[in-house]
Amino acid sequence: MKDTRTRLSAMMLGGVVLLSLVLSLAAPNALIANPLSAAEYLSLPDHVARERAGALSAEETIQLLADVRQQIRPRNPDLDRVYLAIEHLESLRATQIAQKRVDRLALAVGVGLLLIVAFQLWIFLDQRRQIQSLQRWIAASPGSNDEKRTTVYRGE
Amino acid sequence: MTPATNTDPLKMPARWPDFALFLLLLSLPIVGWIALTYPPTLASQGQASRILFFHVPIAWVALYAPCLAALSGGLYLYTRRETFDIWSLASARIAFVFAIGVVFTGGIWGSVEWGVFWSFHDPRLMSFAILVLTLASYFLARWMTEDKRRAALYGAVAAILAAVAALLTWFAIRLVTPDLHPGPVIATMSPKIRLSFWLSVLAFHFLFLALLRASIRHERLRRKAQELSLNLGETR
Repeated sequence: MKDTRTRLSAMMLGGVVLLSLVLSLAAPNALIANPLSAAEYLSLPDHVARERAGALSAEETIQLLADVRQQIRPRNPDLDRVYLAIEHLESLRATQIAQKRVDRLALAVGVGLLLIVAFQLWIFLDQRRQIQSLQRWIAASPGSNDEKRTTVYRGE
Repeated sequence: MTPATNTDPLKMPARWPDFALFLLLLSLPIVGWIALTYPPTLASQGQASRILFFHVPIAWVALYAPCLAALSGGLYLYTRRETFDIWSLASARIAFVFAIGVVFTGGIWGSVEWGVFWSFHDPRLMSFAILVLTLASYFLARWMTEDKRRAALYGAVAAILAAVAALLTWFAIRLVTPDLHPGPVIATMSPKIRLSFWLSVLAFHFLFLALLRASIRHERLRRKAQELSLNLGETR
């Protein structure tokens, strides 16, 4: 009975080690694998290529771009210069749009908070005005010369 | 002058404002920090996507508050107790402020993401405009009526109409295909975005409670001052 259990444990341990080995070997391939190859990308019609490229992650796009550049560089020696100019322009555009988005986000939050603060401020100022008018009425009313302390209702 | 008595069972406990204010002051900075740092940035909208944690909770309050105003207005129509009118007016005031906030914050965001501030073809935007106009008519009806009881009566009816407008706004993107405005997004949110969203909704409800309490206190004081002024004027 004890032998069977020991053999079963050894088999399970071996299985786990084997599975780990297979996964560790397969993992790098899985990371590198790109859903869109350079050849396939270059053969697609423009609108399909745009759609497929738009669905890629940043890592997949870097991989695809490297493959495409490598493939078409022999036919177009000036490709890298064009690529650098486009990259610079896209970087500027991305910065501009990001700045614009942050500006508008800040403006939207600012306007919202301003409205809420203005509402609260109006409540405070109007309450103050009401209390002051009440105090004026009390001071001017008959019997106000009494030394009696008056309590002002503050909405509690 | 005698101090007010606390015999009205509908009055909120005196500690309410402090409690709501404490929760608000505690939650708003935390939620603000979470909204800016915790959820991932959407690739399609960049940092502008974080408007979700500000604009949408404000919109929810702008839709709940008219319902509370209508409920209080309905109770006023049934019981004719002034307390319900005060609740209705305070809720409608907050609803109006928040609804204007929604229109402007959404428009500012939309001017970048959609390229336009407003679209007359979008059901959500147009239904929100109707809500703002209905709430404006609530205050107009009250302001133009001199008799206080009649003003409260018209206000209650206008509050019920505002609640209908709020319900229409809620269902607008669910019944009609939106033009620019996105449809319901909660089901499509990632876990981090969803958690941040619900926390911000909670924080804005604390804000609503704190503002509601302040607004009720203010209205009670205003009415008391008017009443005492009239009484003192008569005794002169």
